[in-house]
Amino acid sequence: MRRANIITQSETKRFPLVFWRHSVPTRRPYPLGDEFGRFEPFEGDGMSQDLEELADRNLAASFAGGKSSGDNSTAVIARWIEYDRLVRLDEIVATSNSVAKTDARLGKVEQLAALLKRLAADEIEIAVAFLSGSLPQGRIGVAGSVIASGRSAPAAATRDAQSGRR
Amino acid sequence: MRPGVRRQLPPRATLNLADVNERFDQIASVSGPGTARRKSELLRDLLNRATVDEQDFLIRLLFGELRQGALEGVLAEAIARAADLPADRIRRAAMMAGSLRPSGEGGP
Repeated sequence: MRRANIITQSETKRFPLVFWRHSVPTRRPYPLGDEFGRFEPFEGDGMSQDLEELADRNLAASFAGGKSSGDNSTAVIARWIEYDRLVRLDEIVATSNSVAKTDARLGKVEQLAALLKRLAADEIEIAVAFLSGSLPQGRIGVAGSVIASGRSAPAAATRDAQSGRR
Repeated sequence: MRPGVRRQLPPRATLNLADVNERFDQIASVSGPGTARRKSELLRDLLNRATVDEQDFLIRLLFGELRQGALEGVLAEAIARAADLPADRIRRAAMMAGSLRPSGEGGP
């Protein structure tokens, strides 16, 4: 099965389409790859055949200067990307924790490299900063007491349990 | 389960990197009267949307507890591997730039 590969996060917002790998040249090169993105595209549960076909039709329509199929399929696909492709914070957290528990240097490198390969251009700077323990902004001017008080903030999962949502 | 008793569910992570970075941008840009309160509100809102593990990570990140020099070297190698570049090249670029971030973005 072919896999979806978006170009950048910001471009996805402007052009909510699935760009198939090697279908179109990127508007700007991947920072760590070639212009077609050497990054491994999203590997999730996979895209259904129907969605693949919809994406192909939408892509073809966009090049023909027309609208997409008009049944909100573009939006559906865009949401699919937004949800599944953008790297979530918990993936960074999991990698960071896993790296901390790994003794072998090569093992650490492999885990970090695997994560970096999946990042979109906009995400790389953020992830590298986070993984090295700093903020892209440097200092954000929040007092230590305020940060410490954040430890008592109800976490998302706990709050959902209390409210009965899942 | 009794009302008010917290039940730990599997994390339901919804934050992505861009969300978090945007929120840090907002916090950093707050100025004027009521700055401390507003920053606190923004941070608390972010933490409210985070899972327990994410909260822990973000708080340690903000306190600088995650910062360790050894990790920079490992990250340089990881960037090199991800980019199929010699690690020396990444390390040299990071040295010239003062940190890994610009070299990670600049590419070959």
